[in-house]
Amino acid sequence: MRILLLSLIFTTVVNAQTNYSVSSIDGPLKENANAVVRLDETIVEITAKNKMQVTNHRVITILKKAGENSIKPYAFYSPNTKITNILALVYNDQGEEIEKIKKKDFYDISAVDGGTLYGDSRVKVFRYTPTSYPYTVDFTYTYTTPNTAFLPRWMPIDDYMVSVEKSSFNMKIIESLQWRKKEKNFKDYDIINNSSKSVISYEMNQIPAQKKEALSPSFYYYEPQLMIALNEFHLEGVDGYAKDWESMGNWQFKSLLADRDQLPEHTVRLITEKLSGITDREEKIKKIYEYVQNNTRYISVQLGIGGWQPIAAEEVDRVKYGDCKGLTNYTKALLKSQGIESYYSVVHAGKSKLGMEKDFAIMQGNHVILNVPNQENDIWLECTSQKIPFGFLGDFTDDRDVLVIKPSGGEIKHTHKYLNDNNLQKTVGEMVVTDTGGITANLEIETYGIQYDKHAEVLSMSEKDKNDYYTEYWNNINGLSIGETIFDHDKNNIKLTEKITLSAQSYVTKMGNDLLFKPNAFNANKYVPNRYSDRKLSFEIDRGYTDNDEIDIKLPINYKLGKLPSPVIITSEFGNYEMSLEKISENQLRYKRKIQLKSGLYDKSKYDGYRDFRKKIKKYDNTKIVLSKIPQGQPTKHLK
Amino acid sequence: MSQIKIVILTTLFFSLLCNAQNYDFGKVSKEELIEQSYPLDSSAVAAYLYKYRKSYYVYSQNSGLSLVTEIHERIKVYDKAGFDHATKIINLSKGIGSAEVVSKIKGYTYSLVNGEIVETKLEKDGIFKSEFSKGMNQVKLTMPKVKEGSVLEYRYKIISPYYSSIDEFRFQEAIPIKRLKASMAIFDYFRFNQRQKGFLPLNPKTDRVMNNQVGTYDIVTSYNLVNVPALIDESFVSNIDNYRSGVDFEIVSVQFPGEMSENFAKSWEDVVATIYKNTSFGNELEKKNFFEDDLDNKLKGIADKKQRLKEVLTFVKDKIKWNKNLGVTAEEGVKKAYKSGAGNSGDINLFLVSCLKHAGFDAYPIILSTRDHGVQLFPTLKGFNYVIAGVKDGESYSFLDATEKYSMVNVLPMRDLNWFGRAINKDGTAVMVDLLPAKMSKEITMLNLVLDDDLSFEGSVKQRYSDYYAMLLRDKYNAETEVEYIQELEDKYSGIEISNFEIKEVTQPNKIINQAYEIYLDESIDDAGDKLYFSPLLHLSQDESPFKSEIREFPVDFGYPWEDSFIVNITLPENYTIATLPENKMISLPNKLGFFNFQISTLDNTLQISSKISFKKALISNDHYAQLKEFYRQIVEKHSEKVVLQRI
Repeated sequence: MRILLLSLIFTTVVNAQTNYSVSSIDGPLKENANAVVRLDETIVEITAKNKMQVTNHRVITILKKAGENSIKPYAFYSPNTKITNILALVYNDQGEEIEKIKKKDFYDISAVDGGTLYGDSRVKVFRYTPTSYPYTVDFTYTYTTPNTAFLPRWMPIDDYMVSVEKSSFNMKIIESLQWRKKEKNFKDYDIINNSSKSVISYEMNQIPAQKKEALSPSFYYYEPQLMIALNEFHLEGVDGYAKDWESMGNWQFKSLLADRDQLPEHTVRLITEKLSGITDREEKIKKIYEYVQNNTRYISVQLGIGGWQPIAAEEVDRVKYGDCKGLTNYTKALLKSQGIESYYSVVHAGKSKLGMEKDFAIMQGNHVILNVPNQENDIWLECTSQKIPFGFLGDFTDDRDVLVIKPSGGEIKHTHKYLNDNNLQKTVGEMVVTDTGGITANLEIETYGIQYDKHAEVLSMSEKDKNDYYTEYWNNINGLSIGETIFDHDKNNIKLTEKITLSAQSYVTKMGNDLLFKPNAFNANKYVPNRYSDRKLSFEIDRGYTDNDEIDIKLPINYKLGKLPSPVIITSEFGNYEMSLEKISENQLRYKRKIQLKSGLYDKSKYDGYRDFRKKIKKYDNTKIVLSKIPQGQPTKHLK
Repeated sequence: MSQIKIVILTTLFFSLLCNAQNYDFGKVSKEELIEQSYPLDSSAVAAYLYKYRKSYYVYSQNSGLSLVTEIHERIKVYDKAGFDHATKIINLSKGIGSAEVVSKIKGYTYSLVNGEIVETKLEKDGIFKSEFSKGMNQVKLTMPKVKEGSVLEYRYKIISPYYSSIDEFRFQEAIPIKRLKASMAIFDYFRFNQRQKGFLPLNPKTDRVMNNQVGTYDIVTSYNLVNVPALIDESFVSNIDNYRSGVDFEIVSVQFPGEMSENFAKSWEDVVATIYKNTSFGNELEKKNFFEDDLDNKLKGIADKKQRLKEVLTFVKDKIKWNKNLGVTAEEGVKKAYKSGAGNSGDINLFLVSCLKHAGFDAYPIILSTRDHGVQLFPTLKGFNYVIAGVKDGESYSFLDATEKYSMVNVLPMRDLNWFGRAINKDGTAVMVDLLPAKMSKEITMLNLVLDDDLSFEGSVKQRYSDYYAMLLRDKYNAETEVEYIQELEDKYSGIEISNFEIKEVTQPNKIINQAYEIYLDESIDDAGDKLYFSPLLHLSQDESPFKSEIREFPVDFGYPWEDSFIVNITLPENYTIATLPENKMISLPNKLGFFNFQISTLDNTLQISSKISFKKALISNDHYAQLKEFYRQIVEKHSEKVVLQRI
């Protein structure tokens, strides 16, 4: 009966919409828009904790080719999630139907991403070749699923350069089920709440398109989002209960993790042997972590509940591979065998820092790491990498709220931050300028934190790649040739030292009798963020860093040093910059430079100030000095 | 004499060395496990210790003829970065009612533990089968207990009902191969072609071997290679597979005793004839009456030949849009594509040929292999995946492709530019045609600037783009908004601010694009008290060489010949005199393949600078790489030289 009702609503909606002609779009919605979403409608009906039907109806007018990425012409399914209804219609600019794509015309392909070895997720996709622009695609599909652990979210803002006429969300939940909701970032937007006792219903209309701007924070921080969660839910054959993070953790522990940490005796014995004689707790944890790194590899297999439940530690022990869940759980089991408690922790991994909703427990995250309590200073372990140093996270999982799953329940904890001075790079060395205009140099680059993370890539490069990497790193030096490279990788202190010798035939510019050159050969900043006449969004310096450079420069003897630029000190709310050139002797200079960039979210009104700061850095980083040739005749004359 | 001896000796020595190792399945040695790095290339993260493939035919009453391929590979993992090689992906074609199948998968991982060899079997849970798409199944295997130093070994057998389609034999991979053995046995009843590619000497051996199952001879071609180096991709390479060593076999015809011979292909003529005979190729060229009136209308009153050629191209582009599918033949059929407005490259360009003929041109379909598909050096059917149109005038051809909106006569989408194609005559014969563009695509930039007292530059920019430059600019400009485009321009020439932007002829192909705007530049002058320094080409300077690698393995492929000219006029403030100017410079690569000319002069208080870089060939052989690198180094050096002004 209820399903019937739903399909009635559905049909009315489809028929009610009549005018998809392009001329009926309001002018302001066409500004900056590659596409206009005419309607984005989600209708959800939950009739039991393991029975949900979802209909997505999306009508989008593509104004130009670049808008085609926003069609979203796909519908995912799996053995348990079934598509019951799928249809796409195409209208011309007048709103007349020109093409009908039926279920059998959809391509049906595996939806497993390149990084995954095997999975049971599939996708139906349609393709349409536009014969002219603009045109409109009207795409509807319905699926049913027993999985209610994740409910559809409503995010009415679509994408950059896409405007929205109408976005709506309707969810009906059977009375016997308790649910919770969270409205996030609603306050700055015109959102209409039509909810009644029996239906959760929201809509938002006439959302203009937004241009993409450099350094703007991820959409996630400011877009409105509606999240709904059931207290009692179902996931791939497993029932669940959660009303807050504690109970969410409790359920995940009991249903997904408990008893999956058994290990064969011989492995326990092996580990015990390896740790014999070690008394320091942290040292033990490290040895076990290194054992995992040296004996396993990452292989991703996602099947049914296996998308959320780790394969048993015993299995990982046998084949020595697993995905993030399997390897984390395996490490946890090895630690447990030595009496060290640790917790499986769910995180939203990625370069932009998305955290768990602290006040709203919901199935979230795409990755798992391990939390080892260690008094005030928890140890976090990334178990999928064979290379990363013990206790280091990098920009994939740093500085965000994660769900730590303890036997007693879940808890939100925050991972390590790598900010500003933590991300240090020190460059010291000596550069010799030859009288033919070339240079030779010996350098040492020391890196920490996120800068370490980036530089450590060079450790696994082939000779050719390494050479190409450095010639690109110093692409400001023409005709650069790299000599010897020696790396000192200090994994204990999480620090990399690169020792490099190099030479270039023609670094210095000759002008008549003068030589002109930049003392900052090895770390000159060229970046100035884009100019916007009318910036709309705030901007972000995501992690900040500090660079310290100190280079001794030896000059050719038959040249005289011109006037040296005065030292520079710039302080700003975005960071600081210092630069100085000191004359050590007639033919020797010391170049010092320090740049500190402060992590933070800044108001758009400060953007021009930040640009100015970067422009100044660029200018002073590219400071040049002049050497003039000492006239050759003079010394001889003097001798007479 | 003594030289020959040495050769013989080394060969003997070599084969002795090789034979010392046992390559039977399961006979992994301790030496292989102990080895720390690949002896000839220490940067290799993994290597094939042994790579074996044997392909042959079997015949059975029930399932008829099938092609069997046996694979046996032994891989050494030296480094964690080589763990990717512990997973093997096997793609299996499938069709309606038939499919390739893989069987007898067997694998072991060998590792040294306390000096002992420990083997771990590949179990069923390490083997995954899935339907990848409608036309392909996939089997993936991932080896257990892999760690640094492990040796992995697996073997399997693929049985294919598609007996005329033999997968390429690949003899070179991204990791080195120590020892390779491969053989292809083909029934005497078959006639076949083989084509080799890459730079390795393959020295195949051919034997006639009695096949007792069918009672006839097999022609067995076998390969025996040692120490094949890894092949790694570089920038400016159109398709690395063009250089990868390997062999392709193609069945030309099959004649069983007492049956009619079935022809597939044998020479270029046969290949062409086969394609031509395909009803969705030849017949499509005959279909006419549905478009003639429309086209006649379009061409009414236009007599100029060049103009007519452009009009026909525009007509076809307007009528049928490309559905992104490649193909030599028509997918929909040209008539249907004409009606629906969409089709593949075959639909569109075969239709284009018909239209050209109708308009009085001597037009031919030209079949080719796109860049992604690799260069075809030997006649093969599957070697072609695309068709365009050619118009013959005297001995030369003009090329047309109507799949892309901004292509022009002789300016083709980049995917087409893959060395050469075959023009097909009506009688089914074919001639080879060179597809590499010969005409230079030009960019001309004129800057008129005034240097202000506050040391900023202000003035106007005029730019003109022709041929490929114009097509690529149109593709880019029309894919985004003008605001984005301008922003990217400011980004590309870091430090400039653009205003009063104007662009002409950008929404339609054919004409030269004119772009004009005003710019403001500061921070490009170094102020050293009484002297000022600046690079005379300002933001246009080539401040970085695209060729920084020490060595290069493959030719540099620019796509098309090109010329960039900059003409800069700078009006100087009155209170300065010119102290020093860079010197003029002219250099070229051998045969004027590349050319650079830099001229600077003064007139009253203006500076006049012109700089020109050109390459007259699209493809520069890697033999010239060292010269090319030096050529660019000198350009960058010249462009970085400063003008010095003295304050009065």
